Amino acid sequence: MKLGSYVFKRLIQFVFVLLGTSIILFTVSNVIPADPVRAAAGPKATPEQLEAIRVRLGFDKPLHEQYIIYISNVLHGDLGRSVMTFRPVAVDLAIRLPATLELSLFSIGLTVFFGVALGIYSARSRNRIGDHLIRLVSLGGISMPSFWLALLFQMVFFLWLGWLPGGGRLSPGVTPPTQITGLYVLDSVLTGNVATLLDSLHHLVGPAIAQSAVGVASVIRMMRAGMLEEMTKDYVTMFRSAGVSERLIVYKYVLKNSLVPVITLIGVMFGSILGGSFIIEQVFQWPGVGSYGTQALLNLDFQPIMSITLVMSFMYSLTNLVVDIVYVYLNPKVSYE
Amino acid sequence: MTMSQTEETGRFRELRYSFHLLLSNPVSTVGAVGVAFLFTVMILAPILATHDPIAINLTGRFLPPSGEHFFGTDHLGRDIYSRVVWGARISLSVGFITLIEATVIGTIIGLIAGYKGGWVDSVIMRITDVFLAFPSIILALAVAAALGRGLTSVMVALGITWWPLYARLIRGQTLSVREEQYIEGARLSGAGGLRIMLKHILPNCIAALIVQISMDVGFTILAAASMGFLGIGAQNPSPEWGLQCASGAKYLVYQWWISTFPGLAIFLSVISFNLLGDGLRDILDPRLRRG
Amino acid sequence: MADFLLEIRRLRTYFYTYAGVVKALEGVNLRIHEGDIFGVVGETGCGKSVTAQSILRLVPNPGRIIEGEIIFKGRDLLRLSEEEMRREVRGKQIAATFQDPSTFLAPSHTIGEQLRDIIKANADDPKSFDGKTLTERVVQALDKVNLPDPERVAGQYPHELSGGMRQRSMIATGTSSTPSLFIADEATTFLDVTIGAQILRLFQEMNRRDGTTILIITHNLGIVGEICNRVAVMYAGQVVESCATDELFEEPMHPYTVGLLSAIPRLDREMEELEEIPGTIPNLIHPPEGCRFNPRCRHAMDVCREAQPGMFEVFEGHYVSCHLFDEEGEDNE
Repeated sequence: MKLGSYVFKRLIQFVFVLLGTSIILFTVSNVIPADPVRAAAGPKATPEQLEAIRVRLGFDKPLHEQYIIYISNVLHGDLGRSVMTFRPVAVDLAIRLPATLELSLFSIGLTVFFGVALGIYSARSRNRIGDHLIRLVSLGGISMPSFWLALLFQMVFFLWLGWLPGGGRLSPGVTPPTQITGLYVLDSVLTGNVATLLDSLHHLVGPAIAQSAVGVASVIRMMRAGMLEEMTKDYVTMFRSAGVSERLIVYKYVLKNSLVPVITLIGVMFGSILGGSFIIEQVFQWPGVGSYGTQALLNLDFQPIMSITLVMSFMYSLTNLVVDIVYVYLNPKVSYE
Repeated sequence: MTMSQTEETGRFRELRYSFHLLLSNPVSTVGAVGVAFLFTVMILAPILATHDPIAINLTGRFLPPSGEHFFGTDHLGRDIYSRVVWGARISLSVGFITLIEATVIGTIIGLIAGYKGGWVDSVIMRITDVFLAFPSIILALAVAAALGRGLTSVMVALGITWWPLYARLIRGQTLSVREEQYIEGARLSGAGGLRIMLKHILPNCIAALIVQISMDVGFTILAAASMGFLGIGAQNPSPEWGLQCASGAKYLVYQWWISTFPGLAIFLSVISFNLLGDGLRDILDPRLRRG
Repeated sequence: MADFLLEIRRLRTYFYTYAGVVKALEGVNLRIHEGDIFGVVGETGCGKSVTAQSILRLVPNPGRIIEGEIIFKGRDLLRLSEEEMRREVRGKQIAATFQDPSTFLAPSHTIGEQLRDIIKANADDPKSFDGKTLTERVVQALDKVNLPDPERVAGQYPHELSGGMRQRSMIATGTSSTPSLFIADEATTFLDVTIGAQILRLFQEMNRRDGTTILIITHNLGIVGEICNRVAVMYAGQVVESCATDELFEEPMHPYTVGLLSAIPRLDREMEELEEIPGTIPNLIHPPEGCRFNPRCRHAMDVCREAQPGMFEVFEGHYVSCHLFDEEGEDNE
């Protein structure tokens, strides 16, 4: 039952980490110079009104009690209210989350597919032209500022060549597919709507490629290094001496052992995609959580900023939890730290 | 020769050998040249710039690249080349300062955690876990937003986000060095904890630190520029590279140069540091040293 | 002489490292008859493993076979293409087992899975296998190496098995198709003495039951004395003496062999003291001129420092590479 006890320990760590992040964010939000009471009350409030609001919002209570209120609010789905949209943040996030999820999943898919494929190719054609080229490109990938890549992408593929749309999830005039999951590609497939499927894919290409650039580079590097290392292992000699074909050795055994660390990389990748979504969604006018966050930053709208950070941390921690468990499950020999 | 003298010549030879290895690798040589070039630009900015980076000239707006304005002018008629040159100081120093902060804080905390062990270690590890649970720059964005706009906010925010990585690294090194015999020897001969940490453990961490720093310089520069792009960091009229890219985004159609050159500057800087870092890592990898 | 199963002539294998060219094998000569249990013995670094790697043509980078002939069943293996080696020789006619079964088996797949791939790779008609036949063959292979409960072992991962079971599983990877020559490279080094003894019994059984020729590579003269009928002693990349096992213990000829045997306590005869051979093994990047043993040899003559001795058949089946025997035997080069 080793897996079971690992899952248990990991879950406890998960809960603890969530608590910790909420404490940190609570601390940060108390550093904010703007007085939330005055912001809620408006400029013309009298001292008595200010005091009344202070009591009502609970700011007269000691800090740890305020924290309890904060946590219980979060758990009840109250993430504050946005002064930009005048809606509860939770509502705003619910509307925007599917867009970000769709883009993230697409990006991860692209990253893994191309990263692994190019990494394998790079390792197999070691030190020949193809390998050098790929290594050069992947070095460029991790060195490139994502916003610059995104802007260049827009410039070349939209403004100059017109191959890709300028932004948004669908072309103007195209209605979204019937809402089942909120992921347009999935919903189009489920409702058999080919036109919308193609249109939404067309819109996904640009932002997804811009978003996966860094990730692909990391995966290529990791796959290449991992496979080269793996090929020096003794069991490869054993299989060769037993007459097994090189192809089988590489694609069945070496690959499996090299892929496992890439799985942990996926978790980290998701984190940087979430962080990068602020920029990518802004540049490509993608109506997701990221562009919402960018707007909030520009307007110094703090409730959304804090809540987005909290939600994204939660999603990231959850992803890492799943990734860690899958990793241990796939790796029969790992030692649980 | 006394012991310390032989040690010194030995270390000097090590240094020369390392330098030789660094330059024999074409990839890291390119990186080294790039980095040297960047430092030159940083230092000689006043000489290299052709115009005043913040001087507005509404009659010369949106001029394409030319002999007069190497990179063209922006929407306020400012010379982009000069802005990029002056921007090197800002964008690069934010990256460095962040790393220094993170290294110092992280090293202190990591040393304590690794050396003391026990519950001190556990507590510190849980804290770093929490910090590392935030997806890349999100915590930095939240903190910087809370502290108000400006470069100092960015530097504080990035420092807060980055120190856990170094704490973990130093802790790991400390743990492995702590078990060595000579530490026990030092302890027995009466050396105090602080002395042991500084004199014996810290020097052994230097190599790993250098490797990690060389990997992170590029990232910190990118992170700082990203925050500048989002409007959190430097404010107008500062020639910070990320901010410049953001201002030029609106004019991408016809005035492509406004965003392209600052972005290119970021890209080339980060690549240089990454190439140099790769080279340094190869040198410090003991397996590859003597073949 | 009767046909040999394997004859190695003038084999030279060098390693091109940053520190210099390591002349690991400098003219190895070996003759193995069908049905032998042949031991190759020597100190660490003498080139015995490299010889095995050369036979299979699996010398790792930066090594390369420079010169020589490896004649197996009448064909020179060094003239075959890589594809021919893989398809016809490796795993099918010549197989091997190695020292450390924990690293020489893939950790990520079950024993059965790995055996399946090996059996399929060596089958004459791989497409004729269905799942059921394949599983039977796997169990058979595991049974042949005397593993208890082979069905269960097939479903387990290498790290779930004990050391002895792992070693047997690895031997199974080499014996699944009943090769003519089976190379065991330090097969018992990492095992307990009792388990090791069982493995040696297994080799004897393979030899007796299937007629498999066994090539045992070891640094342990005890193992050689135990099961080998013929033995070759290697020193610094060359075979210095090659003969029947009892002849080696009764009448060692080469000064190195004599020195080796004097350094081991013996129960079958009186001994005064244990003697050690003076000096150390030579640097293979800059080996000594002439006979590689001459710096440590008390019988060294001028000619020893100038020219390498050939291989002399001192009496029938007993070969020595030493100038001391130049006049007495024919030159068998």
